[in-house]
Amino acid sequence: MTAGSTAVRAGRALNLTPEGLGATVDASTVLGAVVVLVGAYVGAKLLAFGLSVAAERSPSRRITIKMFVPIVKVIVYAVALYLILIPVLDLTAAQLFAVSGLVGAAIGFGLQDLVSGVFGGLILITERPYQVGDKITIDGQYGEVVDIGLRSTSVQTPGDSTVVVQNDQLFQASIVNANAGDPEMLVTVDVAIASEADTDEAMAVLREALITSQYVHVSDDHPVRVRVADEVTHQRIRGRAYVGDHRDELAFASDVTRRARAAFERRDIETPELPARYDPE
Amino acid sequence: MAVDSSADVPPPSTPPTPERLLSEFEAFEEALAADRTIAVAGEPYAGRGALLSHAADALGAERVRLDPTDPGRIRAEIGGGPLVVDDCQQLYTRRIGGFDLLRDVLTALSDADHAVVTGWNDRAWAYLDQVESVGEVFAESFSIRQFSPDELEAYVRDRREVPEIEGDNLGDSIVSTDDRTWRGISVPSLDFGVLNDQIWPTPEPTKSFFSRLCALSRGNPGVALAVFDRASRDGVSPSDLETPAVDLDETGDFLLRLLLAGERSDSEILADRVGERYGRLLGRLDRAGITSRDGDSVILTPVGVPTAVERTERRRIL
Repeated sequence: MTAGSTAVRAGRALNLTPEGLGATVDASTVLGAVVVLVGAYVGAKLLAFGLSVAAERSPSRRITIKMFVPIVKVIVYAVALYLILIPVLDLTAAQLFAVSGLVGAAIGFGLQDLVSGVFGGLILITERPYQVGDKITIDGQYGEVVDIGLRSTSVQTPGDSTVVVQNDQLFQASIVNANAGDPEMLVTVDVAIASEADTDEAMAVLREALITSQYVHVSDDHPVRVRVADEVTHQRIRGRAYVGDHRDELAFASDVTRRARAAFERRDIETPELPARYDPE
Repeated sequence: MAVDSSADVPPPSTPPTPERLLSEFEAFEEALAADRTIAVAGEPYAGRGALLSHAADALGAERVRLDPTDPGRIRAEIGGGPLVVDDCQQLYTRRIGGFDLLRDVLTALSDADHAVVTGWNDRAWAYLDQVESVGEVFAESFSIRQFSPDELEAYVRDRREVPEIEGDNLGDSIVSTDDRTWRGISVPSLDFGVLNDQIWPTPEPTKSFFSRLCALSRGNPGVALAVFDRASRDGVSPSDLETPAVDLDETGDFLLRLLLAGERSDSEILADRVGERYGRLLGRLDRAGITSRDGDSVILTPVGVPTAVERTERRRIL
């Protein structure tokens, strides 16, 4: 005996037939349901758009405002579902229980991928391992979360591609969140100097390149650090500082690298030469 | 009483009295008497100069502006006895290698055994305190406080004839099509000023006027007076108080940040830092009335201060 046939038998036993339900399903009921669904879809889109516009106008509160986008969507669709189902079905407690069983069976057999994605979405909204606006790496994809739907999450990569990741990846993949809801984000900038170059001067130059950047954010909780490491062929000077807006991550790294390299050249700080047999391919 | 709005140049203003500029004025006087090293930070045009003049009189010291091109003389002056130094934000430039002179001066200050009072732009101070820990060098530091609306009203009335102030017209539409365009087409937008007045109407136009002046100037008396002069005419209303508007990208906002922290900046240094678009961006700021020129120097105007503060804070530029 299968779970499906058990659920059907339970439905019959509870008089869960069209005749047994509280309201008649006719054309106007279907039309009403469609109107509510369309209204919910348009309403959710408009609210999400309004929140996004408000968020973009206030860079310091962008992520906080965008955090509400998926929550608002869930509320809108939940209200729509309530408006459609409750008057139509007018269920008793026993019928509601039976319907739950039927829906559960249907989910178990036919829609498990979809439902695991939806449950992933609900967990995303409640536990918030990441939010709209965060920079994350998930399923090997790095970028800014631009939308969290019930079924999937959209991530915009630095190359301006949009990657759609199923929300059930939450249960399987590790997620790296670079800013965890904050606009500030730590950025690492590496520059290389020759093994015999003046390490202290190069570190001072890189530090000043970091602190003078237009994108930098420095506070007691967001310090600037510069470290050196010996590599086989050169010294690696690594600078770490925060940007005030994580969208400036790449611009910051580029700005710091460009000005630090120019200063190295002006001060005769040698940078490593390419190996004689270097092959870019 | 009417003010002649046709006058090109408003009458010069006298700064506020020193005791009104600091909420801890007594502590400031005590620090002066104790021969300590003191830092005073304030917004441009907020009255920092008046406080430093008072300090110079109290100490019987010379008030100087340090010449960044002569570091040896700077060290000698700091080591030579009580001294009052203004515009210390000129001791650094925000570029690689731009902090050497500042570090020399900070070393000289930490060795000083007599009173040295230094004046700093508050944005430069906040930045340097984070990246160079300048606050560690001084025994005492003070911030010039913001004026309340009532204090600003008294300050303006002492220095200007205030014309008749009318309430804003509540019949105005909350939907405006004046400012916003999309691909050349005017699009309606909410006028939050009118909306605000319709939801919370203010019965007293004069109170509303000076509250708005205080909000725009952030309690900065020098800026408030300039904003007042810009709007002043018969029948003026709170919504007539405006600061220059300019739409800039992040590079333009960074230029504003440099000007806000420097107050008076060398054009060549700005160009080096901003890049090839410097001339065009500065032209836009000049036309908007945010900057003015004095030889090779670029000066942030008093009415340009609120614009620079708003834009750089919104962009979160340190």
